[in-house]
Amino acid sequence: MLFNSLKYALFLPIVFALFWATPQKYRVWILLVASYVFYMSWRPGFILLIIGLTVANYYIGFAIHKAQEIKEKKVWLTLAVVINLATLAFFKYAYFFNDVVTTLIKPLGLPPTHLPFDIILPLGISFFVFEFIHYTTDVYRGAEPIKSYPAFALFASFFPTQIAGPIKRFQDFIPQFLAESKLTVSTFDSAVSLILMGLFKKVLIADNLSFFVQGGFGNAGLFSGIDLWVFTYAFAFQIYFDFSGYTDIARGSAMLFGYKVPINFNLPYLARNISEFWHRWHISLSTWLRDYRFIPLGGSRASRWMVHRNLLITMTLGGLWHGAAVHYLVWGVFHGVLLVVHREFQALKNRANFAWLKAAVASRPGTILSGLLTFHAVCIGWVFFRADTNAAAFQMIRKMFTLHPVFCQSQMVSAVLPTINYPLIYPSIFLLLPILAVAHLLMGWINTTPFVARTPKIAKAVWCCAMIFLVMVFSPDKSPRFIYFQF
Amino acid sequence: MTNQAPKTRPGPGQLFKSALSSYVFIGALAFLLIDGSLKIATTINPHVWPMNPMQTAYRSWVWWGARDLEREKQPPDIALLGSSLMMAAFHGGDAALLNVPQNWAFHHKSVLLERLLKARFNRDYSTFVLALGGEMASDAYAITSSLLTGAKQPKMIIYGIAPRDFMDHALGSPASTEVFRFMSRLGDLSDVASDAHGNAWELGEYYAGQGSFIYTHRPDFIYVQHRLANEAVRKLCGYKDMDFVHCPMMIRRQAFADLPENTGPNEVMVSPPSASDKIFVDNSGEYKFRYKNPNLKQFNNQMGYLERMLKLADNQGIKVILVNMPLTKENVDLMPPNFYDNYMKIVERLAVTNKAQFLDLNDHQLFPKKYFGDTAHLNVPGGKHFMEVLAEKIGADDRVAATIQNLPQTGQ
Repeated sequence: MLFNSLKYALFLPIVFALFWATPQKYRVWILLVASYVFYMSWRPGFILLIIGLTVANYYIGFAIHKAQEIKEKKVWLTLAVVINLATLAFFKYAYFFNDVVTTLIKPLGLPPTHLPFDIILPLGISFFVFEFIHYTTDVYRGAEPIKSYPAFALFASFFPTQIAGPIKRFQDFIPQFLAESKLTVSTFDSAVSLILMGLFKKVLIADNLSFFVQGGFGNAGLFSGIDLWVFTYAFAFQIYFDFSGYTDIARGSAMLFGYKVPINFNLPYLARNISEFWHRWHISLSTWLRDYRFIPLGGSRASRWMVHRNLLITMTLGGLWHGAAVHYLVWGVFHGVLLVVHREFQALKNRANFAWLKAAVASRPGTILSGLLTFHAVCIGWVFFRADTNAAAFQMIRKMFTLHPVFCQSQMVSAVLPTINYPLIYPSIFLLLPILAVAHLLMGWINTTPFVARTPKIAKAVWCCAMIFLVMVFSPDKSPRFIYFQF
Repeated sequence: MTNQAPKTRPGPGQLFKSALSSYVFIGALAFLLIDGSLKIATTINPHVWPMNPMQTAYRSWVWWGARDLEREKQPPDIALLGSSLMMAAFHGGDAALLNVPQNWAFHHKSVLLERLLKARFNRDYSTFVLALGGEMASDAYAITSSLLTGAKQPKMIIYGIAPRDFMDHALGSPASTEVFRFMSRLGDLSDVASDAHGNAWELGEYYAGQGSFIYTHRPDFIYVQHRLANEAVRKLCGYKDMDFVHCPMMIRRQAFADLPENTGPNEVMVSPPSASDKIFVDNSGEYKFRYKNPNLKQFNNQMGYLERMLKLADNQGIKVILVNMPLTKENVDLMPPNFYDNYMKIVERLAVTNKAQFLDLNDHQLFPKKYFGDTAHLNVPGGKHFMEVLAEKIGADDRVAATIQNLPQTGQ
């Protein structure tokens, strides 16, 4: 069931009405049943997987808590991590491992290996598996386990965040389930506004950009370097609006039941360096990676080279979390390298004889340049992320950095995009991308002012009416799935 | 929903009062009021809304056809319908006859057929071709219902059919084609809504959309957006000509296949006879896909549309000649066992029961492989040959000849 579908438009109000019409003590059950129905709307059989993992982690949580010896706690934690990661590895990485084995044995003259069965990736598995690992790890670290089974089951399966996060923390979430839910007019308004804003981002911006991006990334050989830069910028905005749109709808939907889901994005393309980018992009994943990968590896309280190693391992795993493919791995390594370079640069400018560099970076032009550099570095990473294969990504990167004259005899090296006049995307794309960039800056400013709070109610009503109109009119007939559904 | 945590359940009056303090509620209410007002205003006077369906951001092939039919001063005597099989024959025939390239967007009159019929029946016939790539039987019904009844109603329809017009693995639902969608804007196809939408959700979406004026007029708003964006880019970038397609066809077709169909007037030409006519492209892979997993439900559904189309034509007094289009033996062999025979039986039965004529031109003796550009489409000489055979078969069959001979003269 997609958030931007008629099914969800019917499902959400029904659950909303049932929830508020039901006495407080049964509300968690209402949401749990609704969440299972939501999950079963795709492939009913996979409900057994989510229920199985829920039961296993629920009891292992208690076992960890009850264990007297640290060694025993460790055994239970290891069991939990193995169960969760093995499930993830089976569904998500079996084909990848099979390909790796085939590649390794090929030089020995051995035939390729084949899996004896087909594997379908269950929706949202990467997200709820990470939530279970977070839960058992935190119980191991001393947190109280969740006593209420329905609350625990709902924590993992809560339908607004079930498929693509944000990755929740049970310490924030469970108390909300157990407390009395309240809905006020202002919460309702904020919730519906978030849903409308999410739909606007998804169907109006991301979906329309996706047709354009698909054309470019799927046929990179047809386009010049300049065209490919435009496609890459378009993808940067597509993935941001797609995922942050999803998160807005998820947060808005949760808010309708009186629950707060943390933000996942904070205007990431305004980041002045790559470290800041990861504090603004997919925040729930980056903090998870920090808490459950980077810090256990030693974090930043280690020697210079060990910190670099920790960063590289963490980001490589972060890349692989997105998918079992070499291009995701390269994307992760690329971000790891960027973080290492950033750390080295920070260390360099903090040296006494590089005070001029520190001042230059802190200056206004320096800040703008840092932001632009960070954005472009992220864009190069997106090429690896979006390309179907590594070879295609490297072909694109090579062309993007090949400085041919823009207009010359050969069609293949001249910028062809400005000559395309498809409606909506063309020529709007040349207006849309700068507008999105400006909007990003504008939102950065709005967030620092009481602009929204001071806006009169009538203006907000007009905004709401306009949003309904725009989403209804400009959404494509066939809306692609949310990008993060595949992870 | 209250401003403060409620201790007792609020009554309807209190809920309404709370709702009025919600800007979301006010915004949604405003939207419904605007939408409802537009619906009522256009029901009372349709001219209140300043747009018409021909003003569209996407100029698909069917748009070019509809536009040119609208410009015709008189309704045509004969309308030709069919898929790209008929399209290839029609354009190829005229390219061979006139020895000039035929522009897909503008060329809608079969000069060759008009001349052949004149020579045989000694009177003038005007034609108009609305054969379109991928046209299914449901599309042919939609065209007949929306475009070929009323002011531009022809006296006769020659409809070229082939099994693929009834069974196509690539087709989502009848309502999903560009032809069907555009025809839904020109006419009222609500009578087939339940059959045309693939599943209950699609149908539900259709009916939900029908309730909203703004939703049903989405293409009008997109058109306005397109015009405004064009104007802005024209001014900002100095483009002078935004109507013609400048981007190479290869890139448009290959890279932007997912975008809505939008074709330029200079985009596809059919050249006069040349050495390239001898090139045979083996497209059996494409047809294997089309004929894959025979979907009996779809087949029967599409046959239902053919029946509807024949009944509609009969009710409107339009004569119909169904022409079974030539295919190569290789193509027929790709079909599931007994499929072709079953198709022929049903089509012949429908023709008889709905007072239509049926001509079977799928004869490998009449159309050897040299007349084909691939396993299904005729090449340029093949197109000329097809029109000649068609005219000859029309003359040779007494009933068909009588039908066409007795068509009222234009102006009667």
